[in-house]
Amino acid sequence: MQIRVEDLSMIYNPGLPYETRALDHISVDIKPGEFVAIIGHTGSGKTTLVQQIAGLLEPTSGRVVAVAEDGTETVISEKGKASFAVRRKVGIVFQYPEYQLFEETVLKDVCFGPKNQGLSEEEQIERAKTALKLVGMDADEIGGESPFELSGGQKRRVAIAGVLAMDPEVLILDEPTAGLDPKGHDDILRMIDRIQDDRNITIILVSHNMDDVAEYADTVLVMNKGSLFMQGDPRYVYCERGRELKSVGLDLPAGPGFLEDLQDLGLDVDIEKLTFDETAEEIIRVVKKKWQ
Amino acid sequence: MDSDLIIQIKNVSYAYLDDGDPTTEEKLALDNVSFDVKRGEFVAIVGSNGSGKSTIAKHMNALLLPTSGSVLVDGMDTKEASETAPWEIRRKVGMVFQNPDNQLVSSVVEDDVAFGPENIGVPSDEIRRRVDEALRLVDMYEHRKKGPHLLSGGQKQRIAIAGVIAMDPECVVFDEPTAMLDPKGRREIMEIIERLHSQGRTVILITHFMEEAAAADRIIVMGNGKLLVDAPPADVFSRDDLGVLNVPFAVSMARKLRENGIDVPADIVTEKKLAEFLCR
Repeated sequence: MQIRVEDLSMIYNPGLPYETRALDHISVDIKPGEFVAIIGHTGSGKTTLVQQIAGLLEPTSGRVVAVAEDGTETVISEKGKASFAVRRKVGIVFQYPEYQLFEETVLKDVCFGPKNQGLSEEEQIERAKTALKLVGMDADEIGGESPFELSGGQKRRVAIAGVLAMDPEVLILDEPTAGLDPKGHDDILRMIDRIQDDRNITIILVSHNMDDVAEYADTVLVMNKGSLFMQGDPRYVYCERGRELKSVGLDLPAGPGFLEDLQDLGLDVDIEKLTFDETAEEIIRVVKKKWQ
Repeated sequence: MDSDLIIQIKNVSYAYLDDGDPTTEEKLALDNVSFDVKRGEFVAIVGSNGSGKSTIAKHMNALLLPTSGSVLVDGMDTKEASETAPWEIRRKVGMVFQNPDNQLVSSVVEDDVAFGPENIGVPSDEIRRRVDEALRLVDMYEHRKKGPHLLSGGQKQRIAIAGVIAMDPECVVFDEPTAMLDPKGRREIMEIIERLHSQGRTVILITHFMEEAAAADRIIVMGNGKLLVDAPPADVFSRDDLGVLNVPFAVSMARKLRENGIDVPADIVTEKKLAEFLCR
């Protein structure tokens, strides 16, 4: 399933003094199975955009459509219209999703989505078990426990399993690692990457962490003041157009960011490097030459 | 009393008694933790979720009292002081929490900052002076007449810090102050923390971000309620046995450069210092 965002605009409080243009004529295609990252400042429209893609908000103009493999188009969101059928194909994990856990047991909580989809109890449990396995948890071991007794990182994984249990083709995650410790952070990202590989589902990740985006994303969408400021693969966004990204106050991943600092201090380095190893090689090359 | 020490944590254990059910096993959130903080020091506390970082922080201004052991703030035992004069402790040690929305009480920024000093009976012209000074320190003076709801997360957090500074504490404890902020907000808060430290205040920073901890004089690593390590950043980051830690970029880069014959000094743990070294 491909997601097509067509000339989408969203204005909050139209006609009032607080009128805000949260999205300004956004058009973008998201291919099936792609790992897309959306970056931008707080208030740049990231969350509004993913809520539109999930069919949770009605736009002011433009639309979001799902294009099936055979070319059939279904509207996800358009003024005056929202499609529940497609909404089920797009799962969204909100910020701090663990606050949405509410059931007595982990298994019941994960079953809630499939239950609402009208599946039989057997199917619900099957789905829940598979989803828990996807997030690296064993339903037999932990399914009977209260979700509130789990650690922060575990709670978050259960919440994500709750969305996966609805068997979405597109999984949206809005800052899924906020507030987690470094290990929890890495665990969640590796898990998302694995789910994308195993299930071949589309991942849309809203993130402030440029290192994660550089490492995992196929495509980066850069939002700025409600507009799509830039899009391309990490190398294009962070290396070729890194200076522009910085000009709107966004960070670079650690490697290119450090090379830029060195350049600003007068060291003659090539800043178009992305990974840690590339960065290290470039520094070694330049510093050894300089110190000879 | 050792006047050099602002905080002394002596064999502190703490058990949360959550459900009142006697069959529930008592789990120690803190297990025999001891360390001191000198006046003017900048100490970072790190550790995984649930390691006891926040629990130890809440002991430093008597929000929690030890189940066993004792905490001395400027020589005052928090257990005794919490009965006689809890404000004496909180005047010495201010606290900034993770979520700025939970810390703001007024509908105007400057009223919010004045709330603390008003409560401890500071004279009104002195309050005015302290509020202005605190707002300038966090670069929010121009926003003093605004409603906090119109501010960004980072700005709100700066107001929360100004509110603590207006109490003129000797020591400020920051409990994951940047966890809910974007990178820009995080940088702003770290600048303010370093500014407070350079003014001579004692700073205790609880964080998951190792780049932030690298700026401290000392890092304390907590795990399962125990103090695992208490050492300067360079020593902490050179240890491979602390699984919860992400080594900062500058530390891994320095290591890589050393392996390739560039002799980076061992005490370089921040990007700023590493850049200065490479460009000298």
